[in-house]
Amino acid sequence: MKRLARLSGAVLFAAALLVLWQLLADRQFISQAFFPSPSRTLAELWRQLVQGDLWRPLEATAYRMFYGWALASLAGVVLGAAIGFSRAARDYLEPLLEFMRPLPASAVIPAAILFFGLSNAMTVAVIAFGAVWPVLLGSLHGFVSIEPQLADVSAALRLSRLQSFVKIAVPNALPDILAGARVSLAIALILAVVTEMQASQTGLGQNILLAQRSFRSPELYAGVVTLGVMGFAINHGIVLLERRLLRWRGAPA
Amino acid sequence: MKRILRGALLPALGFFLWETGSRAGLLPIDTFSRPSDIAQALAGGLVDGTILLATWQTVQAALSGFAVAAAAGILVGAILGLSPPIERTVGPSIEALRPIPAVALMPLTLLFFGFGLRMEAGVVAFACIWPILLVTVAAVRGIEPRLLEVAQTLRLGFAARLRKIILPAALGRIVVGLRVAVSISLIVAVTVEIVMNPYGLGYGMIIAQQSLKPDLMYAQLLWLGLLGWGLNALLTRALGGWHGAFGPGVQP
Amino acid sequence: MNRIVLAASLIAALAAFPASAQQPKANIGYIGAADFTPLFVAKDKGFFDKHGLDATLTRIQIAPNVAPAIISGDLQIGMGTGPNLLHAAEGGLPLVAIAGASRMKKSNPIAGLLGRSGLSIKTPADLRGKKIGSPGLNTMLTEMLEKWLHDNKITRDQVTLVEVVFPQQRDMLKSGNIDAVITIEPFRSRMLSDGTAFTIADYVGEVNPDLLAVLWLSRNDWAAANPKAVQAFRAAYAEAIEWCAKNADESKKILAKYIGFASPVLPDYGVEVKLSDLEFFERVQRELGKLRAPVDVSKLVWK
Repeated sequence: MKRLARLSGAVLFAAALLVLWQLLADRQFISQAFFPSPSRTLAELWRQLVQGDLWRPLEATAYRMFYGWALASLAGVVLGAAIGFSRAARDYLEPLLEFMRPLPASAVIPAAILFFGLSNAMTVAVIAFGAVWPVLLGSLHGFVSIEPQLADVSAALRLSRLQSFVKIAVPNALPDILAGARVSLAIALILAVVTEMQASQTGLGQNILLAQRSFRSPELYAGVVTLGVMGFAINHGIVLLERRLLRWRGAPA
Repeated sequence: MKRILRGALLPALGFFLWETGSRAGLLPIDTFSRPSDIAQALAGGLVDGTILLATWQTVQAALSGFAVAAAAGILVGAILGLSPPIERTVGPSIEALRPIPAVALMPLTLLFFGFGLRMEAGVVAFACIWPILLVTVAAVRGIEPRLLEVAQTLRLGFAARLRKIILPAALGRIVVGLRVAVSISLIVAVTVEIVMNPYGLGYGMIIAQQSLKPDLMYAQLLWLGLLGWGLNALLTRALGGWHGAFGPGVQP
Repeated sequence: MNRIVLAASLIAALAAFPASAQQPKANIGYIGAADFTPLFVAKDKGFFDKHGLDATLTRIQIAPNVAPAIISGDLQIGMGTGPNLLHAAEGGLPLVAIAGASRMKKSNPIAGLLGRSGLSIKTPADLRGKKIGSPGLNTMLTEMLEKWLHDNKITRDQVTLVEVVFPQQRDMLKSGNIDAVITIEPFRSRMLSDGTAFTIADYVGEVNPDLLAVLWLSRNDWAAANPKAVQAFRAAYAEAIEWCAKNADESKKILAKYIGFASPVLPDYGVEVKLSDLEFFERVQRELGKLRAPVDVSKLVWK
């Protein structure tokens, strides 16, 4: 009962905001050209849903995001493991990676266009570049922070290097890798939007850019809402995945 | 010493292969340019001041957006952290905005502010506010309740409570969020410039690419890397270790 | 008492001063193209000053960015196109056409669709599956191409349109990144003469033999509050167009001075905006599904 009361307070507040916005827009206190009323935005979203205009760009953005993220995760885990296990690899790679990490991924777009042209490959490469860091750091941290007792166990059991990697190191690093992968996915979505805007690739990012250029603000807001929902959904999706994969540990990290 | 040599090996080897490959005609110069040309372009841009001016514009926009985000994030975060009822009511509405990628708001801020500093700072502020807000809420909640009781008995107003009790007590943790936000601010500022704002370093790179000057483009990319690296080193020195790529603010 | 009189007369003098001596001001936004030769001439030869407009010229990088700059107040007058204006009207932005800038005539083609040398694109049908570079999606030239494709029974999803700004088009064609390109002078002549590309069609002339290419936009409220500024702008512009016709060589030099490159071919200039010009765009955009509801174009032209 108490919980219901709390929830209703939050819902009422959100509803009040929307109603206020609607009234201000209807009465022309705020420009419909910049702030279309919630009803117009929802109507546009509904139209896209019904007429099917929403699915193609949504799919394109999701694919782009997913491929870039998968590539980033793979590269991040491999590099993280290499640096975590080999002193030499760390010495060779660390300064280079330290230099590249703060580079905004969007800044490599012009160079990526020179190499890959205006193609899907370009967008995936840029997304992977930008999204690799959290997984890389997570995986590095996970592989480095193996508890000494576990190392002792693996020695006592006379596990081979490979066995100890699979049985001890990977499970130990998994929570950190997944936490990194979650952040990476959020970055991948952002970069999918950016690359679509910059390289005119189909997707939600391009849709909102074109909506702005045609001054269709309800469409622009509908796109922003869709992206927000998408961001929310993928974050919660990966949290669920984390819970499943880490069930043996009890609560997620 | 061995570490430094090893660390320098790969970049040095890369530059060497790049330069010789380009001179041997193996790498097309209009795509790859070559390190010697890039160094020259960078030196030229630094000497004639164009790169420094662009850097100043980018940094100015990043810091303006960061400042707005810091002020708003700390204020709102303190209110939400102090009052659970307000947090319960307003929190979900704010939370609903968080998954929106800041870059999706670029077209909107453009319509609203036109080109230039304000538009860019607006997008930066939206991106930067989240780590600051989240960390502030957590930090304020973690304040010793007795301190707040003292504030109550002293009948301090909200502003005075914020300044005299809350900020000093929570600052240590808020700084972590601020640090994450500073790194984000530079990244977002450059992104806005590359995608639409004719301003700063990002725009300089796009123009260099469009006017077929790859050496200048790579030079600015290199400069941007140095800038981010320098900023990171500075922050690490001033504020201590690095907490994961995006810190605790984004990884609750 | 004396001091009050003194102060009052001082205030009166100050108040009277701006009205008598200050000219209306306008920040005018353009992009680097040969369409704006009369603008540069009017500034260079002092026609704006002569007709009483204190004009500042500001170069904007890409055309879609001009209208937002007018709306936000950075510019008072800015270049635009018919489709631009109609989109703005549908979106509820208060823009109005205050003058024409240039026209595209079939007899003097300055824009066209070029194909990469070595490809065999003879008929519109050969464009199916090809990647076409556009100077900006949702720009007038691209929408006219979509109309031309539509007239030739090619649907929008049978070709891929990607944005490639004019200066980059030649390289993108050469590297094979795109198969064809929507281009304009002087890039068109350059790509044709050095063998990078061949003409597929002068499609604009096929769509409309006398098309209003570029016009000048203002905010409604600014134009209504500053009729003198608008009149001065139009008068200066008309005079500059006349001057260009008489001094072709010198106007090309002035053009090169402002945009950094010369153009061997110049478009036709005209300061008038006819209702039929906008009605044509309205019809095409409705046909292509770019406008969802009819737009009353008579409200979009300054009177």
